[in-house]
Amino acid sequence: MSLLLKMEDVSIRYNEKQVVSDLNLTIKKGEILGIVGESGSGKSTIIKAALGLLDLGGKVDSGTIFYKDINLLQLSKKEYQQIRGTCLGSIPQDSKGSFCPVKTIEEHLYEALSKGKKESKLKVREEAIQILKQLNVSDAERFLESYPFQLSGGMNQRAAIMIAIMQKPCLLFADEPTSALDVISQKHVVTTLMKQRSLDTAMLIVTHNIGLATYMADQILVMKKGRIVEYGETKEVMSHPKDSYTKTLLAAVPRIKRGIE
Amino acid sequence: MNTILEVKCLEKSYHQKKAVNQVSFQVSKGEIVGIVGESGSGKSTIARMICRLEDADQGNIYLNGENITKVIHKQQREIYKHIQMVFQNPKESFHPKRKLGTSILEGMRNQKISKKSAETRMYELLKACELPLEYAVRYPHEVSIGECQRAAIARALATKPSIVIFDEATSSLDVTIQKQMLDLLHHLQKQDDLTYIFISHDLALVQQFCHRIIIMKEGRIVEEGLPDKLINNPTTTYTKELIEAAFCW
Repeated sequence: MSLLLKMEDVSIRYNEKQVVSDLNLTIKKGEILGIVGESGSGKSTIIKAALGLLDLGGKVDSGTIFYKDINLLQLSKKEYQQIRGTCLGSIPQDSKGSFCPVKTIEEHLYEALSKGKKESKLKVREEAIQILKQLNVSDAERFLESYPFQLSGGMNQRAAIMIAIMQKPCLLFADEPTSALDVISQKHVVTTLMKQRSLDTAMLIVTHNIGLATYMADQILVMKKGRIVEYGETKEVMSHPKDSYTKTLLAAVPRIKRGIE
Repeated sequence: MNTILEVKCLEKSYHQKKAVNQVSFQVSKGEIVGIVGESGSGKSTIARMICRLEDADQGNIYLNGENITKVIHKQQREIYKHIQMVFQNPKESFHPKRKLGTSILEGMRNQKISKKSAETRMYELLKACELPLEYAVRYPHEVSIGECQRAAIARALATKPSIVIFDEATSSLDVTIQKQMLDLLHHLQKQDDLTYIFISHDLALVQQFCHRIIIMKEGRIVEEGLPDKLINNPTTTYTKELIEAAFCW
């Protein structure tokens, strides 16, 4: 499989604070990489760095980030804008905050698709409704006409997922894509994302839901305090964790127990 | 066990849509009751009505046998002494321009507890919630989300309530912090014989933490029972669906 993303010896800091150190990872076409770890371990920063969206004071200190053969760190703002939303998609952690409050979800959708192949609004709308139904949104038509503030956190999250899928990126970055959802909606989102993966979309998923990462990801990367503590095939890492932090993390996951009364 | 809280035929509508529909249940002293259901099933609305943050359209809420459904003003403030709530997003539940200590003291000062006694209690609570005492002078943005949620628990316990309602209070925390938080809540519950209502969409967590589970869908209770029994022998399609969804990963 061809390599889509390669991050090599990447170190990132915010002002004086080092938040990610010596990061190495790769994602191939159609592959899902799950990044897990506690809050503040640098998971979301990795996504922001790859998308060229580090917050104020944030800087990639050293290392390289390649998307295919494009050195992302050498792109101009304009060049970055051209590949974001077309080649690189994203589902932000704070979906509601990422939307403009005075635009409907439908307007956001058309704006997000304006860079790609032009299709009729009717066709786009129909496809969006199909995806929203897959995401367990009952009144999809009304949903599209809603403003972000009229929708719950979970609904905004599904709007962001729908828009990201509609952009058909080669590589999708998802930052806690199911954090605002109940288990049934989570199941619908995961099914929809896995369908995209079957269409060869690669993904980098940051989550604190270990079960979800285990279910979705081919490779797992465990982070602590900005450093990789474990990285490998999901099955191997989950069944034979080597690092003590990974073991603690796995032990803390609540699991449904059947057969005891 | 003594019934501490009773909810009878509770109803609440928003824009002609029933968010809570004929909900009745009882909670005994020292019990941990989990309320589980998908988004929009009415879980948080019930919590807000019990705390008197929302008015019920119909039905009654009894605290130690006393009807508190429509209490206002002084009596309403009296309720806050007995029932407290911990919200999902700790950072948003604190005043951003107030130090954590000031927020923890506020409830006690409203209850006319002397400044000295309130401060002593605040430091006791910070210690009980495993927070350094100097956190009293920190602002919400100066602490991590897990630490902020500990401060929210300290604030909820400040007035020595008998009931604490946790509305998705651990869902924004990562699993290791979540486990620490649940251990802390267990310890405090046993120590002070507290009663908890624990709202969550994480069935696995509720099975481990609660003595009893109530399953809600579209504003109604669809099933209720002991955690292990309910998970091993669900009687409704919806509960089965919830369990299956939780079992996917």
